[in-house]
Amino acid sequence: MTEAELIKACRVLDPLAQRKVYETYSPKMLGVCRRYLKRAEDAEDALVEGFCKVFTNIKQYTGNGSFEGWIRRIVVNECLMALRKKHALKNAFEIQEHFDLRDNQNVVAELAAQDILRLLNQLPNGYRTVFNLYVIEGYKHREIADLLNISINTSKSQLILAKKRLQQLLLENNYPGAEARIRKLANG
Amino acid sequence: MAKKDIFDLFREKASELEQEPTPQAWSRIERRLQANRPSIRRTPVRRLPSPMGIAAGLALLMGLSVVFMWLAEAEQQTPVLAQEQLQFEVEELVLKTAKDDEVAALVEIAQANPLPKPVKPIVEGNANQRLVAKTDHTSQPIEITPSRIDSNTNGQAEERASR
Repeated sequence: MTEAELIKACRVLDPLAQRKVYETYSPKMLGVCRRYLKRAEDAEDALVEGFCKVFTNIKQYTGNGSFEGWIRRIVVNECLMALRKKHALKNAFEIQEHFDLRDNQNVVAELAAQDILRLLNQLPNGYRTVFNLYVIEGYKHREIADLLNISINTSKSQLILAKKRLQQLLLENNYPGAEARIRKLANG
Repeated sequence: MAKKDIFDLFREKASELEQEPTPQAWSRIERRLQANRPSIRRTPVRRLPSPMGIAAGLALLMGLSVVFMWLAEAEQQTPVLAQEQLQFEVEELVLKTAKDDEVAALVEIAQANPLPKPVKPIVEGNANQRLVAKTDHTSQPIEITPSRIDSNTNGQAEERASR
């Protein structure tokens, strides 16, 4: 069954097709949720809500752009709503001084996906959300400002702060570079 | 090693961040979808009666009561109708025609037996007078005294019957 056939079947509420879509995309989408929401339970709640919306609003998917991208947008929105419900975004957008980002160090190639999740979870909610939206999801600052109901400048500054904090965390966690890490292991 | 923005690496690696949801997640979605899906089929059973449903129920009740009232009225009328029907049950009269010779015989019999002449009523006289019965030719009267009335009234009656 091709993706187009699957979507067509989902439009007429075919349970088997819905199951197939869920099985195809749910692991990836739960990964998305985990990046936004620290607690695994919250992430799964957002996933459930997101997929319910996917199946009930499937007729709104016009076929422009990838189906996965469409699902991802819905799921991301669900995560943002969950954060908003928990008031996690309320006081997270304090504007601080701008950091000058120095040139990025050579980065470890084998930075594992789980490491990224761990690092992101150490960021404050506001930093993490903007970083997720801008860097990983690829939203523009204007879109982020609309989504989170903040100013464009706040979005920009939050991103800079998030990047700065991540660099610090990488340093603390001995991720400046693979060579350094290996050297350290050999010495240790 | 090519110099690469650390955050590009984040993006690349984030796409690998997959996690299998718990089985409960799908059953929750399924339940939610089932609650929505057969809304057209299920609502008549599950939803509380709508105002239109109540109205329909009342109309039905009123209609039924009217029908029953009408039936009760019809039942009261039935005895009257039965009586009227009885009036139409007419007795049949059978006319028997007699033959001419029979009629002639009857006439002969009638002529042979004429009805007896009406007897003169007995005028009751005074108590102290004597009652005297006379025959056509005999001049000898039969004296009836009040003391003999009882025994002679029978004889008088017999005499009259023989005539």
